[in-house]
Amino acid sequence: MSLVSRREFGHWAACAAGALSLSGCAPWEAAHPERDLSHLADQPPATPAEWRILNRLTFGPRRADLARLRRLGPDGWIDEQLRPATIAEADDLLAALAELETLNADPEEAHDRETDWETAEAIAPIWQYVSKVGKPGRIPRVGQVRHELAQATVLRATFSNRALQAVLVEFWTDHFCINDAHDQCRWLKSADDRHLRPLALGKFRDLLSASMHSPAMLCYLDNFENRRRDDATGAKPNENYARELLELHTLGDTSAYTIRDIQEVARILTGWSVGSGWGEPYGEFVFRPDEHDDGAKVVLGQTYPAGQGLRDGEQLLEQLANHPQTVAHLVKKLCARFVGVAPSSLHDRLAQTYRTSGGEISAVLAELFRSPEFRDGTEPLLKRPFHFAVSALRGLGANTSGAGIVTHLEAMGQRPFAWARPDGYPRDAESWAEGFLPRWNFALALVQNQIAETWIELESLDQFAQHRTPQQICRCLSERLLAKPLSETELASLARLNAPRSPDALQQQLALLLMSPQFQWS
Amino acid sequence: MPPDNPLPRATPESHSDRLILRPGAEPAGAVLVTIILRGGADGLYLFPAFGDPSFRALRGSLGEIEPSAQGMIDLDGYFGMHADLSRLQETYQSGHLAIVHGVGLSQPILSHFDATRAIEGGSFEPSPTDGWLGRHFASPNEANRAPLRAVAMGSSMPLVLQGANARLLGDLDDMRLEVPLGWEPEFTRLLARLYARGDDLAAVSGRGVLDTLAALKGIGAVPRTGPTTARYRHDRFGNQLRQVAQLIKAEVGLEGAVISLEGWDSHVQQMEKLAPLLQNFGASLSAFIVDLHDQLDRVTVVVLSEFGRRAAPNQAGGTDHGRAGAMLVLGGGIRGGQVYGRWPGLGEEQLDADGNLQVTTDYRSVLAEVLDRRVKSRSLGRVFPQFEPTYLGITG
Repeated sequence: MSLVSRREFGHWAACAAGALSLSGCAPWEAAHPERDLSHLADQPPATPAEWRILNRLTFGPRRADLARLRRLGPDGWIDEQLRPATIAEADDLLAALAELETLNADPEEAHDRETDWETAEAIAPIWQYVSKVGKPGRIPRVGQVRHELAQATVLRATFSNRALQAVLVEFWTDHFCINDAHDQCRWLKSADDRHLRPLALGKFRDLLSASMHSPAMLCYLDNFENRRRDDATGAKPNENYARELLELHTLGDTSAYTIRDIQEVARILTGWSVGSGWGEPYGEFVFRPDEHDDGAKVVLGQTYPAGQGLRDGEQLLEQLANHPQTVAHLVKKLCARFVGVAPSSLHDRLAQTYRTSGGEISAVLAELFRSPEFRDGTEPLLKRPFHFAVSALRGLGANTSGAGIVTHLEAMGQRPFAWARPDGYPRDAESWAEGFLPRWNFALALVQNQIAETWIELESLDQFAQHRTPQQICRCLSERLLAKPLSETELASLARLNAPRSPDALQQQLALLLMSPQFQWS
Repeated sequence: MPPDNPLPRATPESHSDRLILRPGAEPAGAVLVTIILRGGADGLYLFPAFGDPSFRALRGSLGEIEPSAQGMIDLDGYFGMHADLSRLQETYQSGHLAIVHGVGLSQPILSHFDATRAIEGGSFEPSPTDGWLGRHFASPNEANRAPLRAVAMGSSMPLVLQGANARLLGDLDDMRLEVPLGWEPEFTRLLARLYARGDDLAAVSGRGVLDTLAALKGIGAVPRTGPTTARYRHDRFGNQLRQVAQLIKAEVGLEGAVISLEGWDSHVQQMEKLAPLLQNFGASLSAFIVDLHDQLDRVTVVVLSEFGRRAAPNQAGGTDHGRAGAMLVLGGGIRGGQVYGRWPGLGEEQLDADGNLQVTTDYRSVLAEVLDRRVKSRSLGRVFPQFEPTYLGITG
C-alpha cells in the first residue's frame, strides 16, 4: 500500500466532491501544525491526570490541547473550556462549516432543499444557474440537510477549540433526543441544534425552554398535533410529549408523578405547534389559542389558573426546571457521563450548586471537575462509537470534511441524531462492547487514507519514524494514543512488524493501536 | 382471499450446500427467535376484537373496519387480523402462528423505558443488569460450545440478551475484517494477541468478535435465499430475519437470536403510520416461516412489545400508551391457528380506570412455556425468578 500524497489526494477529493472553492483547495485541506506528525514526540506524553481530563472533557486529546492544558494548568484550562464564548474558534473549522450550504438555512429553505431534489436532478443544468442559494455547480440531494448537520457535528467535535462545548452538545443531544429521520425532523433538527449549542453550558432552564419551543421536538414527539379534548367524540389530548418531557427531560424518576400529571401537562401543551406556512411562519414555533385547553390545571400539586393561554407553559417551565427531582436527575446523568458511578454525596453537592447558581450548567460542571471523585476516579468508561472515531481523528491529527466519517459512524451504530427512540444513545458499556468490528474497519480505513475526504499525513509520520528504532516508534505511539500504554511484550510484538522495515509497518502499528482494547476506554 | 404465499412442498437442499454440523454445536431444543416491537404495538389494531360489543363505539375511526378481504381478515368470528398483515394469514391457517391477546406486564407501567426494562429484564427490578434470555444463555450447554450460540442483530446489545456470552451481528455480508491481503496473516495474529489476555469488558468482547469472524467463515457456502416464495422485504428487518434463517440453515450452533423492529409508538395518524410497518412486518415474518419450512420443528419465534395502547384513540387519530397488547408465537411444534388468552373486554367497567385493556396473561407465562417446552431450558427458575407461570397450552 503506497502512501497517498497530498497532491494526489487533493486531485481525487476534487473529483469526488465535484466542486471546490475558488482556490482549488477546500478549507479542510489546508496545512495545519496539528496534522504534521513529524514532531509527534516533541512534548512528553500526557500524565494519567492529564489523560483523564482530556479524555473526558474532549473527544480525545490533540497535541495542541495537551500543550494548552500544560500552559494554563488543569484548573485554568477547565475554567477556559467552561466559558466557550471566550475561546476563539479555529479558522479552518469555520471555513469547513461555511462549505455546508444548509447548515444555517431557515426552516423554509431547509424544507425546500429536502423536497426539491427530485425536480432538481431533472433540471440540473438549469439549476446550476438559478440555484436558490446562488452557488453554481451544486445540486441539492435528498438527505442533504441532515447529512450536513451530521457532518458539522463531526467537524466541531474534531476541530473546535471549544472542545468541552462539543461534548456537552452531544450530552444534550441525547438528553433532548430527536431522531432526524422522523418526518419533518429531517429538516427541522438543524435549527434545533443551532438553538441548543450556545446554551449547552448555560442555564438548564434556557435549554429546556429552547427544547419546549423547538419545532423539531414538537414534531418528533407529536405535540404539533396536540389539541384540546374533542367534546363530540371525547377524544383526549395527545400524551406523548408530556410524558417524555417529565420522564426524560426533567423529573426522571417515574414514581415522582402519575398519569394524571402527564395528562395535565398534555393539556398545558395543547396548541403548542409548528407553523404550517398557511398564515403561520413555516417551521417556526406557533401557539394556537383555539386548540389550547384554557381550563385550570394541577401538576404535581401546583395549580395553573384558567385563562393563562401560552403562559401555562411558562409556569410549567419554571416548575419543572427548579423541581428537586429534575435536579437530581440531571446531576446523576452528568456524573454518569464524566465519572461513572458516583457516590450520593457528590450528587448532593452538585444539586446544591445547581440551586445556588440558579441552574447554571457550567457552575455544576466546575464543581464536578474540581471534585476528588472526578480527579482521582479510576472507573474506566467505554468510548461510544462517536467518541472512538473522533478520538482517533484527533489523536492522529487527521483532516476531514466529516462526510466519510458519518458513513462509518452509521456502520458503528452511532450516526449523529439517528437513535430511533427518544431516550438518546445508550451510555452503558454493555450496549456497545460487542460491536467492535466496524470500529476496527474504521481504524483500518483511516490509517490507509481510504475514508472519503479524510486523510492523515503519513509522509510526516515517516519523518517521525526516521532515526528511531522500531521499539522507540511503538513506545512513542502507544504513549501518545493510549491512556494505558501497551505492555512490554505487546510493544515487542508490535515492533517486530518494523524489522525488517516494511513500507506499511507504521500504518499497521497505528491501526493496531486504535483497534486495541486500551483505545476503547476513556 | 386466496393465499398469496402458499407454503411450498419441501425441496430438500443438497447436502453439499450445508455446512457440516460442527461437533459440539448441538442446541438442546428449538432455536428461539425473539422479535421485539419497539414503542408499544397496538395489539387491538393488529388483531381487532370486532366481536366485542364495545369495539366500534370505543375505537372510533380506528374501528371502522369490516371483516372482509379489504379491511380485516376474520380469524374466528370474534378476532380479526389487520388486512396489512395478510401475508400472515396462511401462516395462521397452517397452524404455524398462535396469537395471545390480553397479554402484558402484571403491573401498570406506561413508560416506554420502564416497561422495556421490565419485559427485557423479565422482572420488576428498577435497574436490571441482565435480561431473561441472557439468564437462560448464562447456563452453558455442554453439547454446544459454538461462539454463535446467542446473537442479537443490530449495532447495540439489547438488555434482554445481556448477562450471557452473546454476540452482536451487523449485516452478515459486512461481517469481515478489511485487512489488506499483504498484511496477513501477521496482522490478525497481532490483533488477537492484543485481545488475548485482558479481563476487562473490551478485551472479552473483542475476543468474542474474533471468534464470531472465525465462525462466520464459510457461511457464504450456505444459500443466502430460501425458496423463491420466501419473499422477505429488502429492509433492515427483512434482511435480519433472512440472515437469522441463513444462520439456522448453516447449523453454526445458533440457539437464540434477537431482532428489534422500531416504530410502533403510534401517537398520531395511526392508520397511515402503521400501514407500511404492518405490511413489512407481516411479509418478512411469513417469508421466514416459508424459508425454514422444512425445519420448522426446530424453530420458535416469539414477538412481543413493551405494552399495548389505550383502547380509545386520542385527538390526533393515534393512541397513547396502554397496558395489554398481543404476542405472537410462530414456528413448528405449536398449536397455532388460535387466539389464546382470556379476553379482558372493552366495556367501560372492563377497562381499567385509565381506559386501558386489562392484562389477563402475564407475558412471562408465554415466554416460560416456550422456553420450557420448546427450547428445553433447564434454568427457568433463574430466568424468571419469583414467578409462577401458567401455561396456555400453545406448545401442545
